[in-house]
Amino acid sequence: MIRIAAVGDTHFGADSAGTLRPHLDALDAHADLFLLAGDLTRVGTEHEAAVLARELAGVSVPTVAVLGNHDFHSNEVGAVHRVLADAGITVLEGGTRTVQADGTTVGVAGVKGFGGGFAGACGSDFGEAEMKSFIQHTKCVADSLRDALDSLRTDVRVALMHYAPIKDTLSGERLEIFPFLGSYLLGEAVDAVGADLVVHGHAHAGTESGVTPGGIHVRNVAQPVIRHSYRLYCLDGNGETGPQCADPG
Amino acid sequence: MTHLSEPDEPPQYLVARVKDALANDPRGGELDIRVKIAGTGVFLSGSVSTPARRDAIATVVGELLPEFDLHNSISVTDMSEDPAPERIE
Repeated sequence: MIRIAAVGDTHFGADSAGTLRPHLDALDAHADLFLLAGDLTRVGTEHEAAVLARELAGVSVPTVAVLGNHDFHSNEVGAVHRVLADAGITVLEGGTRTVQADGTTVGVAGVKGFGGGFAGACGSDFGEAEMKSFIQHTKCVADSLRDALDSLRTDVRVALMHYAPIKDTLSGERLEIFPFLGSYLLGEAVDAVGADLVVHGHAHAGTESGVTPGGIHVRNVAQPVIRHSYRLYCLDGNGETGPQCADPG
Repeated sequence: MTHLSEPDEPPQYLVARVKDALANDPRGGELDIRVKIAGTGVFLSGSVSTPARRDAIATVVGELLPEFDLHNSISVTDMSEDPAPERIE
């Protein structure tokens, strides 16, 4: 049994110090891996990343993150990445991280993702250069996700992203903004090579649970959706018995 | 800060400009606040992570639309309860 804690959209700012740390005390005892699904900061400054890094100091389980659109806003993404990496957090963009826990190997493939919409109602790589650039970026990110996920040879494979790969977990959001919340290309990439779980954020008014067209579990862990410091998911790995999926409370 | 509203301006345009201000004002950085203008009131809803964020948003909107009654229903996410685990099968 592998236990994965996950949260996205923490939107840390100078006023956020002390808001998360008290809820992480139980994390080491109840999780094997901690995933951060982007929009970690309010407007993507180095200072905001440092506030979050200090908050996560002392978390001993491997912590793996992707960045979100907010983390890019102040054009300090390099510094944000560095501050988090210096704090021991693995920040993925087309890469992977493998963790071993209780005889089970878990691989995480992570990308920010991007928008574009969902099959039947999505943008096309056509027309103005700006529109082509928009959709080409999503295609590039989706290709990167597929390749990273496909490279994993672990018992459990997790796809981590900020933008949504399916419409299910957007339920509650306004239909008009779906193309800015995610892209079917991300879901298609996951279905092409397979995974055991997809974790994303970004859709604050969405729904936690969904499934890809290929039948892979998807969870939207945006903090306004889960309304907790994190959510805990337990997955069977290689069938060996291990620590139970205990309620942190 | 400059006031946004012009006499008889349709509320749809005001809502768009308020949301743009909430995204770009240094005190904001918020894209997910719902803004509705009805009658003489501006109604805010959604959730943020700290009380200071909630108050800052109200300040920004109050400066932009001083002639409107401000109704701030933005909630602060309560993380005091530990989450129940889910087994994925």
